Amino acid sequence: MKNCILALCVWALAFAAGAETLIIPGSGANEVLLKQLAEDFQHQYPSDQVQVPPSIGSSGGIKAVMNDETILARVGRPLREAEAKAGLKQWIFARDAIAFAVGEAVTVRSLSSSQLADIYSGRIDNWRTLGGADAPIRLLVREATETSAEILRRAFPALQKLDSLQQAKLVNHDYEMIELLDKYKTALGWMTASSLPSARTGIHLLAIDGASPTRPDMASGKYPALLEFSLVFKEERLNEIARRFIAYIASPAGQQILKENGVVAEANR
Amino acid sequence: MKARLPRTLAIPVIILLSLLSLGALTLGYWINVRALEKALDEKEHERLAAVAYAAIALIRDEQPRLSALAKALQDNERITQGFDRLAETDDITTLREAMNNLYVGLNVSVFQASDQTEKVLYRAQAPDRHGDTPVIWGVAEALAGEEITIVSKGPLGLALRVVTPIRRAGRIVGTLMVGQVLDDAFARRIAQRAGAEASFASPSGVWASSAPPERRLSPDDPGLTHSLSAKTAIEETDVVARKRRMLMPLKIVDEVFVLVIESDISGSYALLRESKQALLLKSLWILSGAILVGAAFTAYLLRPLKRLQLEAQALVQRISGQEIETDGVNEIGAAVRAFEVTTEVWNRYTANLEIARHAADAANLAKSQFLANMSHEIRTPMNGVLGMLELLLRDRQLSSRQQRYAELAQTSAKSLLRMIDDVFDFSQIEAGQLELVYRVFNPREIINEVAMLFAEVAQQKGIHFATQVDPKLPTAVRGDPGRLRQILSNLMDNAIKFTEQGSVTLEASVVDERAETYKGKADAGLWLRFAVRDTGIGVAPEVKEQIFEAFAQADSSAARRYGGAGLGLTIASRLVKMMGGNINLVSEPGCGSQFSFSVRVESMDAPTRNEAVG
Repeated sequence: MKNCILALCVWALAFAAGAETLIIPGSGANEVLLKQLAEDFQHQYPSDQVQVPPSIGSSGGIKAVMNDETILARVGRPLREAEAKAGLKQWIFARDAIAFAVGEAVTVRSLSSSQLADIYSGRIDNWRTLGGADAPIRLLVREATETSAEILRRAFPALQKLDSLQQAKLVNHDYEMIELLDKYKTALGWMTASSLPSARTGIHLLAIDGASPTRPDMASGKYPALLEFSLVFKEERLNEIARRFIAYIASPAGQQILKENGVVAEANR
Repeated sequence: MKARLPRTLAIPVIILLSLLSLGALTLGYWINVRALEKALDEKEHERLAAVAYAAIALIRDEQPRLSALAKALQDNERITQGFDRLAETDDITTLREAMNNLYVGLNVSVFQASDQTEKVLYRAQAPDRHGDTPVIWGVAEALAGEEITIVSKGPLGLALRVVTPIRRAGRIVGTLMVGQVLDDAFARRIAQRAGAEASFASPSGVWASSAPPERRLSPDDPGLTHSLSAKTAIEETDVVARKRRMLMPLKIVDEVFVLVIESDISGSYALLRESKQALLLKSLWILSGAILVGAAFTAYLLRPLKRLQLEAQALVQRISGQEIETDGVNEIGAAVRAFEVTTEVWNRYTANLEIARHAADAANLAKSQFLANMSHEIRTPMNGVLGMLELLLRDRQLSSRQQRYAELAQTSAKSLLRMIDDVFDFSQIEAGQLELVYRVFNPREIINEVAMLFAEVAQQKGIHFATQVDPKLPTAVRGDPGRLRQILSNLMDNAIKFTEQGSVTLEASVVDERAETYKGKADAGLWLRFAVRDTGIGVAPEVKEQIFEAFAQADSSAARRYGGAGLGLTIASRLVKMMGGNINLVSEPGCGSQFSFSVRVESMDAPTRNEAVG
């Protein structure tokens, strides 16, 4: 069903935009960055059309490539074994940290992964226990199936229960997370590091197990919870416009966009 | 094997018509039902959507109400007094009583006060229980100094709450909370207002509903997770339970949950069923009507074919006595076969007739030829007999007795010869061998000859005999005088024979060229009219036609009485016909008869007259 709708969308978009159109379906986490890249790319190549439709998830994008419904998909996670075996290639062009964030009233700046596990299992419910001020820990979580939750579970094996807590508020987007961290000043949540505008001083990103979600720790691999910005494709199906778009991302102009978005570029292919 | 049901075209035609009607009606039925289903589906969807938006409005309306309530209560004298009393004497009863009294008129499901350490001072549901510190979002935030509106799960379930700080002397001494729990009662309120079951669900399942527990949505319902992850409203139809659900993910304040509206669509189903039945009934009526009309029309179309077949059958039966085999064919086949058989029988019949006619003609010809030959053969010895009798009568030595015998023999022989001549003439006419011999002659001479011949006989019989000859009668015409004489002799002979007393008159005249009867024929020649009138026994009207037939006399006893072969009138009639005329008989039994006729001759001009006579 989902595939049918996607196929229809792809077809409709292709029809609307003409033959020289590249459609890149996939993950929601990648959406904003890819839209910016697509926009800048079209400035350079006005005859090319690149469409970044709303999220259908990383898995949806991968499936679309597998079924030859699209040439490129935007994907936020590594390929699974079966997907790699099906002949799919993944090009990771940037990474970003999935970082825990706290509201203004929280003084704690770093936590261990076992402390996090205690918090999310309900054993610790006050910042006082963690050396902070006496204030309840308000938990803001993302959906269990969401890519960022998946990445955190993978990066911190102690953290398996992230969302099933009764006393937690479900959040759908990074911008909502920021809103609620502002409202609940003693809250703890997580988001992609680059989503937090540098001007916002009230919200703080936490270091976990001594590694901070900053460029050096990410680049060195010390900080483990990383969102990958990648394109998935079948090598033999790559057409001219897809190759041009990939080349553009690796070019200085594309790298500049990545830098502006605060992600760590991984231009090596 | 032969007694099979007749195959008729009516059955396949009716079946075809029925199938066509059935097809058209089925298509119509299908289209109608589809349209109906779509309309009902649309109606149900609109109803569900209307109910859902009404429910959302109801929930959203709670927010300003609670907010206004919180603001009013913040400065409520009795509550502030209660807090003052608590701070001064550690006595909670004043606050408790104040809040108990207020709660009655508030129409909220959450009414709660906490101190500055989040400890509960009063809760409306359990006024006696206090001192605990439940985790309720908003209390800590309000203690930080600002009123806060939140939707979150608390001990009573998901609730919309407004928490406001209570200040005394510039210090925050506690919080006051008013709220509305989205519980079963609230769901029932929506249900009552909107006319459909309402439920609130989170990813872990339904936590409040207007429906009894056994009818609530299962937490495993795929629609629930789907609507949450897709973030769009989805609709499900439970065909078995006749329910339709709309699952609408909602974000009220800062909490995401799913509002489930479930409406009973059995009414629509009943309407659909009724409409289907009515449609089916009408379709059946139309179908039966179509079949009846088809049958009647087919019968009407096939009737002439059946008639054709029956008439052919009657004809064939009459001609040949055979049956037309029409087993195993339809009406058209039967008509074709009937026509084939009729044609075949008719051909055979006409061929037989032709053969029979040829045989009859041949037999008649043979008979006539035989008679002609025989007459000729008989006449030769008869002439010998007559010659010898002539010689015998000239013998002076005959005694008077021998003389009388010889004369009798001569009369009989002459009579026999005349009869033979008649038979010979008749058979020649019948065989078509008699031909008229044309030459120029004087008709007056013929009259005179005939008159001379019969004057003596008439005189002997004591009958008055006269001739009346038209002065305009030409003296030279071209025709067959011998045959004309024969006709007149026959008629005269006849007239004298059947007249016992009175007179016999022979008339001859020229037909007036202006006479109506012969108009248009005048240029074909000259017409002479003859008539023989007598005062004899006459001819009865009923036998008038017969007397010109061969061998016929008016009465079979007449033959015995008057003698003769009865061929005289026949021969006369045939000869007149050959000359272009007709014998006309005017007669009254007992008073006499008149035989008249006209014959065509060629008129001879005066210069040729003498030559002709000479």
